[in-house]
Amino acid sequence: MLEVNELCVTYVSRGGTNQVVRDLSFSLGAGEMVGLVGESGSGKSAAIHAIAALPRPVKSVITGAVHLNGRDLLSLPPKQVRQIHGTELGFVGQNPFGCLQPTLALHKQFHNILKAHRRTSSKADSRRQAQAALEGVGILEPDRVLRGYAHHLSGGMAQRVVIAMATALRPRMLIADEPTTALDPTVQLQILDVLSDLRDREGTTLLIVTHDLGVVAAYCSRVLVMKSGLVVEQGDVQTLFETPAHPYTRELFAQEELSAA
Amino acid sequence: MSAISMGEGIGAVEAHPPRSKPTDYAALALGVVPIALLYLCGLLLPLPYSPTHPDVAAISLAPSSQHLFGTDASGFDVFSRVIASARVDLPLAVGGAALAMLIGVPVGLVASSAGWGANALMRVVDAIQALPLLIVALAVVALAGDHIGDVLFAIMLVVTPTFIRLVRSQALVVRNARYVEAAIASGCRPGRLLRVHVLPNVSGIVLAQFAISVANAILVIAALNFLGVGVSPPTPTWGSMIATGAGVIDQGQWWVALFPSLAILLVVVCFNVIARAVEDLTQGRR
Amino acid sequence: MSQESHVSEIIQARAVSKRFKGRTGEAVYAVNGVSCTIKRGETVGLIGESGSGKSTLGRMMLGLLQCDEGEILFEGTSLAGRSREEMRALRAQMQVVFQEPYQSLNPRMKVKSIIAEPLVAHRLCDAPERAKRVAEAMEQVGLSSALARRYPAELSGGQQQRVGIARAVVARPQFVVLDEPTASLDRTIRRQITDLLVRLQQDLGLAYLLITHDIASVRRMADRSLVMLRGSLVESGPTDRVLTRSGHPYTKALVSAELVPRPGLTQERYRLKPRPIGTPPLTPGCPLEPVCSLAIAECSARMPEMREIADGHRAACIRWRDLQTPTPPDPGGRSSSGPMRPPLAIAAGARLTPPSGATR
Repeated sequence: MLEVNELCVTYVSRGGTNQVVRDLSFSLGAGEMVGLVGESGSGKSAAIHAIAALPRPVKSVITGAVHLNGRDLLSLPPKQVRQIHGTELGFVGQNPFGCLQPTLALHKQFHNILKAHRRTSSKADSRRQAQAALEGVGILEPDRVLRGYAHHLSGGMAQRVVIAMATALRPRMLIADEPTTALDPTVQLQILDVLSDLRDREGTTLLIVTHDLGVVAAYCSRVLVMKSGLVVEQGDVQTLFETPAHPYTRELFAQEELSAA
Repeated sequence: MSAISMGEGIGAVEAHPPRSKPTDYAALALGVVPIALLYLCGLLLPLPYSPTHPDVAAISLAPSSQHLFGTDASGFDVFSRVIASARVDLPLAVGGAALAMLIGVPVGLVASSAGWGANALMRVVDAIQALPLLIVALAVVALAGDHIGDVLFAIMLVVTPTFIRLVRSQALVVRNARYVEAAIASGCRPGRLLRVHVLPNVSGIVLAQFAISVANAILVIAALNFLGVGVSPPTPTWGSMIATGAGVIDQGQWWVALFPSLAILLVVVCFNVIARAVEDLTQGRR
Repeated sequence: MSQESHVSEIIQARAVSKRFKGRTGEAVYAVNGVSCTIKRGETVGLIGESGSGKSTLGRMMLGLLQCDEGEILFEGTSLAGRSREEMRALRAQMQVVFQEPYQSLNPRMKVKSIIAEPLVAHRLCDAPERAKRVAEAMEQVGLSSALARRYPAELSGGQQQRVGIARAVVARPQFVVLDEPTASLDRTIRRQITDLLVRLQQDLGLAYLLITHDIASVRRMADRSLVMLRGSLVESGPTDRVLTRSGHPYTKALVSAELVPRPGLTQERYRLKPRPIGTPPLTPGCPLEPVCSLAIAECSARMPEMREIADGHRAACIRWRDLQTPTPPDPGGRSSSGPMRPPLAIAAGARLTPPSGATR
């Protein structure tokens, strides 16, 4: 499904160059739910944005290959990349309100997405698709939500709406960058349930970036550990938690053991 | 002890401040040097010709090797007068802006506190700013006389309200900052709070605004002088030189008005550059 | 008896409330009739999610916010009657550590000046003595003395928080409010900071109010815990009981929402129903009613009172008895009741099945 080969991301700024991601290589199989963990400064956000071919505010130089369903995202022309966004690859960010347009009613935002990808014939059709998407993420009154605006929603609801928008076109892969960091614990649980539900129902492959090992332990089957731009270890969750090989992994996971005690 | 040797967690990056780059200081120099040169030349160097005693034989001469900027209808050497004006205009502008700052900053700080007094104060400032301040300044100087004090007052009138507003808004931001709350929780007295916590975090913006205010002050002075107010001939000022030159442009004597205009342009641009450099430098500390 | 309580109780909140004007002008209670006590040297955890009013309550206890109803007592005397000068002097006794370390430090002040602030503000000692105490505080929190002349922007997050802690303890207060002290720090540093706080408490005899939504740190640090929901106190008692034998569905939901980093550990999740859109207005009944799976008609009619459900353990739920099946044992293995379920066998590439036993 997704294969990343020797991805390098270098930030170029007035102060010089900074290689934030170095030779990142990993692959994801269909239907997997994989966690990418690292602390601040590990480069995980930069890596994710490069993989999803999303622009960053910092000027960056990206080398390597990102093969999604056989096609290298990094070598495609922007038009095709735009086409892939939403239909094959979905992205959910940390701040749901940053992803929702504050001045447009939500049904219009859905309509725009569907129209941009030519998946809708009319406003009524968009409405129906949007309602189905919202129901799919567990929103009980989709019609009421659609008529409203982003600021009517609580954090958890907004994130559900963002997930619904990202998956409205049924992409086979979803990348989530710290999707629950900004949310309260009880809401966090609900959102993670929504994501794992997506995986169960639709077979969506999920790549979740997080710094929270609890998320990884409870929901992911595999995990990649990043430090200073490199993947220091990867493997299935059980092994990494029980017998971490790399000293950094050991340190990271050991802290978890202790703080839970 | 062990905490430090173990490092602050693996992967935690020690935050490095965006240090003042040499380029920021270079930018500052770029603004300061021309002005300093202009002023110091006027102050120290002997001028080729007297700026106050005309040479009746050399009337309305175009720029040449003898008269770099040419001469005007009275026989004054334009170059000497442009340089000499700097001696008058620059200190006046800087002085006026400084006075505006001295008044505006405390008022702005006071206006940033909560309560009806601060609100009333801002309404007074609103009222002042509702007037066409340049006109008022003009009226004041025209009525009161060409005394330097009156010109200073005029500058202050135009420039102070901006200071007050700026300081107030920045102080409001700072007052709501967590570290101010922390200081209050530490038992900090209001006086010390303003002095140690609010003011230093406002000063960066204030200094940048000071540079801008000087630029504005130059323009105010030039405008007043252009209208014939606040200047007693034969004292050279840029504004009055432009006024003289404007009268003879249609006779083809472009140099009389151009060079003082360029001087004003140079000075205003330089102060803007200084303001920007100051802003960049102080932003680096935050 | 009253003499003893004066000695042992540092802070008491008596039915305190804080009102704000809502968007449509009606009164919104950020804190609604909360009463609690903190004894000398103990740590009380205050748990709640955003909007619970826990930070507001913390500020009220420090006297940074006025109470609209009720009163706060410090060492037996009310804060309300004090003059501004008295209040200010009292601040030496009660300090606070904020959530975001960088924002709570004046970016234009050097570290040593920041730490010295309480000493300067209260004129507690002269300059040489100040320098000594600042150096002492820095050593206590594990900051190298070389950092004294640096500015906050030059320090890492963990170091900044240590500065905040040093500032809080330099004047030897009796009571420190910790407002989410580790929330914005990396995981590896959290443990260090928590250990530091515990050690300081032992060395200096401090009383803590730990405001957080992180169950793990409450479990680690707090002797007693309080749970707040939308401004009201819904449960209080010894931490162990509150977390494992919760008397209120909200507490149970919070505890079971804790994601424990142990793969294969099947946790029983107590889930709340999905929330309706928008913030529902505060009804006279229990704030949890719209999303509570145990809710009955009476729950929306009246706010349940805090009732004693065990010794020292109180909860504000009518149906607390239905909750009294113990939650799964503490993942750290502290309690000895019952074994953990054996981890599910994981083959390479196989998926972990979703947690079972979930009550939706």
